[in-house]
Amino acid sequence: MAEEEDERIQQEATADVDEAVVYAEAAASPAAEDALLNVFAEA
Amino acid sequence: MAEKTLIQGVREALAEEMERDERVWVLGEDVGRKGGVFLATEGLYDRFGEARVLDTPLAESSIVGVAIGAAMNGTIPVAEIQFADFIHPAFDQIVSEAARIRYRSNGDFGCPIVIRAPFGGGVHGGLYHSQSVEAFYAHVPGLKVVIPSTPEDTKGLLKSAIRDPDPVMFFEHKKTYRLIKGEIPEGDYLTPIGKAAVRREGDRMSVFAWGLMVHYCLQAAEELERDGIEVEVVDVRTITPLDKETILRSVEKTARAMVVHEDNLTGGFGAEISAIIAEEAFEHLDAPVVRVAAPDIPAMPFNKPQEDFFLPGPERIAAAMRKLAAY
Repeated sequence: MAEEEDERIQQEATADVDEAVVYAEAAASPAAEDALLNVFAEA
Repeated sequence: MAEKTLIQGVREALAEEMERDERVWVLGEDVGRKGGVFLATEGLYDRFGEARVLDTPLAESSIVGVAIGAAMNGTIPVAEIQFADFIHPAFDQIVSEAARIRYRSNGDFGCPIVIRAPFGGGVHGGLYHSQSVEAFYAHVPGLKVVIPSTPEDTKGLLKSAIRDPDPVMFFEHKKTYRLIKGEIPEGDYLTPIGKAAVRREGDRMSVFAWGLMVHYCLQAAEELERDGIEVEVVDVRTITPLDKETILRSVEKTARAMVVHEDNLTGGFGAEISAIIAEEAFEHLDAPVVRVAAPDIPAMPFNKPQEDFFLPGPERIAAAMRKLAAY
């Protein structure tokens, strides 16, 4: 792999992670009782 | 209707579900040409072909891992573990992966697999062909644990398990495979997961059991009937989800409760049922809840005297019933 290609992939990955962190930190925390959901399909 | 064996119930359920839905397939050690070590899958290879009846290497972790991956890609695998004693290498796949896929994906993905395994003793299987493992899996949210005791329930519950969107552990008592006979309704029917069955009505005490122990409890109850003591025997059928309603209703009627299982006593599922009764029906009890179970030793011994010592039988159960009735 060329050095430029490697650099591009790393920058894209870093940007994706940074974007996800911003999104997650801006989002409301889930309700505590929602921890009980999705144990089974009918939940 | 003709009487059939419990293993025929397994076979009919698998064949009918594979016929009904081409996404259903089976995998496991010797399930193909041989038809399984207990012949539970006999005839499926010839009928449905190698692609849907897959012989696997002797690698339980891989059997379950492959099943999980296939389930997440839209198929419905029924994995056979040749003996429940051999399921432990797959424990991580079952507990860490199958049970958690729906939860960890926030409901985006499910894991519709069935893992069948013969369990239990009384057939001189010794230390490595006799274990009862239901309590390990009952402890894991995300798994359903089903244990049929009759041919009719075996077929109906296995069909329900195959159609269930979540992972189901389906334990079949190997001694009941050909010992227990009964009618199996023709055609398609489902026995609901999560519903216990009252096998015998009584007013003196409630006895809760599953698998082979249901039949031993019924034998013991017949013996006590001769003394005028009427015992109610409840076949729990599904350990999780547990039918607490039927259990508590029975205890409220009889005021005495006993749980019988052939897993060893400490940490067995009888402890959970006992705790539920103590927490939710204490005011109805006239006596402490009694557990009849195997002793706390590492495995079922091979020699007959010690196997008999390990496995609760009708005589031991009847003695415990008499003692509870006299409390």
